[in-house]
Amino acid sequence: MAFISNRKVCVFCENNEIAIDYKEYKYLRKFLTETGKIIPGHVTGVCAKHQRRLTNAVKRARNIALLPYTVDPRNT
Amino acid sequence: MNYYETLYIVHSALEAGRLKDIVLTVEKSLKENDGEVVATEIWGKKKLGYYIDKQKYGTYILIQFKSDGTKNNNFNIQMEHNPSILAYMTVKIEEDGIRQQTEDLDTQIAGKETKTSHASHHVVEKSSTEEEATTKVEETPAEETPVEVEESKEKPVAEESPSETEVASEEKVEE
Repeated sequence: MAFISNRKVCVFCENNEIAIDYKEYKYLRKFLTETGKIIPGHVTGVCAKHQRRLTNAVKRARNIALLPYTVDPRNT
Repeated sequence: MNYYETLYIVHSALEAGRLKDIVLTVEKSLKENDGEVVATEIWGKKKLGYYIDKQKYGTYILIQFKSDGTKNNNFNIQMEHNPSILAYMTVKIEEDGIRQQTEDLDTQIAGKETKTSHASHHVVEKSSTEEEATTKVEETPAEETPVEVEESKEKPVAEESPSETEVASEEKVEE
């Protein structure tokens, strides 16, 4: 029986064309929970290098109100 | 010389004329602080991630510029003191991240305004396409009919007579 790996591969390592930028806030939403928290890399499969850049981009987007700091799920 | 960009949020209640004034004042203050504007992009009215000064919406404007960075602090202070700017953020960027400004400032502002009344424009476009379609339909039979008339003229009288008899027989069946 062939061994099938369940290990996720980093999206940004797979595709070099995807830029991690705070202006692409709609794409960054993929890496946030519904309450607005950043999902850890071991859950999404993003490598440490790109996770660092991703968190910086999310924090920049939050600073300029492109993304929320927190979302109350009761209001949505 | 380094490249920087400032993304700032203008009060959403400001109209096109006032918006242009603010953009020009920001560009002016940037030039006073030894900055060279490379590109300006108006993103339009967007919903904010959280309330700023009790405002739910704001107009986002991105300005990219070239500067040595020594007077960026003064520029940021001037942005801070501008009452119509809700928030701003200056970030250093690479040369690859510079966007090419294709549209003029006026056309960008006008484009964002027309987007708000997008639905009405669609209706106008649809009606115009419908009109074109109807004209096409009208034109095609008009072109075909004379050809048919000419053909019928060319046909001998003997061929026309059976068609008349057929019509008469059909009328009888209907009765």
